Amino acid sequence: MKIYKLNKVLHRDFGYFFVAMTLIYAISGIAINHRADWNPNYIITNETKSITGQFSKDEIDMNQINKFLDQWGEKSNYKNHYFPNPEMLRIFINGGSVSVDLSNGETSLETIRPRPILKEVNFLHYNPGKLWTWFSDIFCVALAFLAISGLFILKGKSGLVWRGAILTIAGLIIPLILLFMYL
Amino acid sequence: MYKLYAIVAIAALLIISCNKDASKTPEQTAEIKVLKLEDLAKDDFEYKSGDVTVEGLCVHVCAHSGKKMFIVGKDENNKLQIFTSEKIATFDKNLEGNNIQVTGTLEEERIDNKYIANMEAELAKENPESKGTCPTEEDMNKINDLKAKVANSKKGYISIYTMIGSKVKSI
Repeated sequence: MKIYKLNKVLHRDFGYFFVAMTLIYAISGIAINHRADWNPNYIITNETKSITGQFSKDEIDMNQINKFLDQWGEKSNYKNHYFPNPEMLRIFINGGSVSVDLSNGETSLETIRPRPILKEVNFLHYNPGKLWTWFSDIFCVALAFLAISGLFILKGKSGLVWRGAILTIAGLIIPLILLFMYL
Repeated sequence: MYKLYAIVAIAALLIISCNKDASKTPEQTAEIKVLKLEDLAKDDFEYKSGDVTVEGLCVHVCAHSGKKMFIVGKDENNKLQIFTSEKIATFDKNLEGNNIQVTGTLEEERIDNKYIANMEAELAKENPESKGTCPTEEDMNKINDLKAKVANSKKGYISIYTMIGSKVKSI
C-alpha cells in the first residue's frame, strides 16, 4: 500500500476509533473550563423558608430535627446532622441538606442532583486510574497522529499547497498571539 | 489492514493482562491503626510517616472539583481537610452526611509563635486603611486563640494536619 493511501486509511480508522474519546474530552473540557461560572458535576438548587422562633443548640433533639425536615417533606430522608457553629445546624438528607439558622429559625434546603453524562465524562477527565491514564495517553498520541496525517489527506490547492497551508498557519498564529498576550 | 489491527488489539490485551499480573503484589499485612480526629488534636500525637486511617463525619465535599472534602469529629471543632490522591480521582458528593473512614498520608503544618507573628504582620499589611495595625476582631480572636493553644502546648507548637486520601469507606 502506498504511503499516501496508508495515511488516509489510518487517519480514517483512528478517527472512527477515537470518536468517543474525543467527545469525552471535548465535552468535559468545556464543562471544566467554566467551573467558575457553573457546577460541572451537579445541579444544585436552594430554597429558603422561615419559621418563627429562636433555638439554642442545647434544645435541638431528634424531635426538633424532624420538625425542621417536615417543613420540607424530607423527614424520611434524614442521614445525619452537625453544628458548624453554635448558631447553625446542618441536617444531611439523601440528595442534599437542610441548614437551620438557629438565631432566627430560617431554614434552607439545598438539593444536589448529578448532571447526567457530564458527571461521568468529568470523572473520566480527572483520570480515575492507571488503565485510563494509559488509554488516554494512547489517545493523545493518536490525536497528534490525526493532526499530522490530516495535513496530508488532500493533494493540490485544497491541500498544504494553498488552502491547507493558510488555515494551518492561521490556527498556529492564534495560540501564539494569546501566548504573547498572557506572558 | 484488518490483520494489522487484530495484531495491535491482541498486543494491547496482552500488555494489559501482563500488567495486571505484575500489579498483584502481596497484600500489605500490617494493620493500619484507625484514629479519631480527637487523637490528631492531642498535644502528644506525633505522625511519623505512612498510611493512617481517620474516622469522622463527612460534612463537605467540593461540588466543583470533588478533589477535597472535610470531615469532623464528635467535637465539631476538630476538622480535617482531605485531598484526593493518584488513587482517587474525585470524592463523591453523596459522602456528605456519612460517617466515613479515610486512609491516606498526613501532612503537618506547625504553628508556632514565629508563624503567628508572620500572620499578624500579613494581616497588618492587608489592612492599610486601618493604618496597618488593626486587624478585624474576628482575625484577632483567631490569633489570640492560636497563641493560647501554642502557649498551652508542651511542644511549643501546634500541628495542623491535612490528609492525602487514597481510600474512602462509609461506615
